Order: sequence, then structure tokens, then C-alpha cells
Amino acid sequence: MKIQTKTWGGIGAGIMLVCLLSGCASDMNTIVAKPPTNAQKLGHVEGTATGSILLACIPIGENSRTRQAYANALVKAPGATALTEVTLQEDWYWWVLGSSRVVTISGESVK
Amino acid sequence: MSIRISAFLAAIAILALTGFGCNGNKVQFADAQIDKLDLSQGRKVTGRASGLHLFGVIPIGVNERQSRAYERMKGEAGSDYVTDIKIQDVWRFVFIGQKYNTTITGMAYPVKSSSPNPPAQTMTQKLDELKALHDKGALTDAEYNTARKKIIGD
Repeated sequence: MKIQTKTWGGIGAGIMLVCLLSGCASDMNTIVAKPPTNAQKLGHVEGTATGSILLACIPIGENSRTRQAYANALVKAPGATALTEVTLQEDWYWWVLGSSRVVTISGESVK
Repeated sequence: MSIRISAFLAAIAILALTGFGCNGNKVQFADAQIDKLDLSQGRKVTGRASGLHLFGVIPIGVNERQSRAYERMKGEAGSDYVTDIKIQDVWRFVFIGQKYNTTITGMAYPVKSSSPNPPAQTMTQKLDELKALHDKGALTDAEYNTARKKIIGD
């Protein structure tokens, strides 16, 4: 029984240490690029992406959510190379075992 | 005691099932008219803001951290226009929750200064200049009279 307690204590301490050392940074993601000269508007587009942190310290798509949302918006206008008139919104929700953040990026696609 | 625990667990379940969460502030990034900017005088500007998710649930400065970071970056840019805007989000576990640091950077450019046009000369100034040239011998009488008639005719 004592060995089991020590084992669980060790596992708990290990998880705590991992959590304390955890943390991540996303890349510097472009939100507003220099618009191309003589830009041609292709229409309004919107893209979303979700990132989650499981058990307060395990990231799932958390660090790439902004880049992914921008890419999801661009892909809706074939040929588009950038967005102008950009808006960004991040909503979050909690689901007991973790929390998620939904990034929405919208704007006028141009090429 | 068991009733209290049950009530607590029920409250957590309700919060989870109802998708407890918040909407963040929408950030509208201003566009810069690139052809009107002096691209030779760009400088990097940065804005930072943090937020804490206390116990993973209670938001403290989380929902508006992007808009605060953007406003700070614009404040650093002053009257210059900002483009090439990038965003970075860093999160850390801080024992009582998760801390988020948002950094927004951009390149600030001033508007091209229009080259000042020399003020138009008045008729008197033109005539005085013409007379000075004639007096110096740079213009013949015929050239002087022709130019003078042209100035007066204008």
C-alpha cells in the first residue's frame, strides 16, 4: 500500500513538474500583409481554427490556430495572396478537462 | 456534505454542458494605402498585452488582450501608418491557471511628404527680373520688348 502511494505521489509530482515547465509560443503569424500594388479584390472571406489546452498543460492545435484561421480564410478565394480590411476575434469555452479557443479571421481577399 | 459535493459537481457539469465561455473583442486592423507611404522610412512598432485564465475558467484580461496589444502598437506608431502586421500568442501554465501574452508587431511608415512647389511669381516680380536681365545686357531691346509684352499679355 505504501509503495502504491509513493508511486502515485511520484506520478502526480511528475505531472505537476511537466505542467510547471509547459508553455508554448506560436510563430509570428501575418495578419495584415503589405497589400500588392494594383490589388484586385476577390471578395469577403472568413476562416476559423480551434486550439485547445487539455488538462491545463497539453496543447492541441493551440499554437497554430491563428495561422490556420488565416489559411482557412485565404483558401476560400482561389488565387488570393493576402487579406485587407482584416478583423480578428478569439472566443473561448471551457469543457472541464480543458479549454478551447476559436480564432476567426475575416477580410477582403486580394491578389 | 454529500449534498454539497453533488451540487458542486452538478454546477460544473451544467457549466461544461452549456459550453461556458466568452467572446473576445473583435479587432479591426486598419489598412494603409501603400502607394502613399514613404517606404524608405519604416520602423518596427510593437504592442503587448497579457491575460490570465484563473483556474482555467475565470477570464482576467483574456478577452480583450489582442485589442489592447493592437492599441498599444498603434500608440507607438503615432501618426504613421502600420502595415505588415504580425501576431504571436504565448501561453504558460502558472499554477493558478494559464497566462496568455499577445504580441503584435508591424512596420510603421510616414506619409510621403509632397515636394513643395515654388510660389508663383507675380507680374511685378517677372517684370523686375526681366528688366534686371535687360540692364545687365543679357537681353537685347527686341527680346526685352517681346518678353515684356508676353508677361503683360499673360
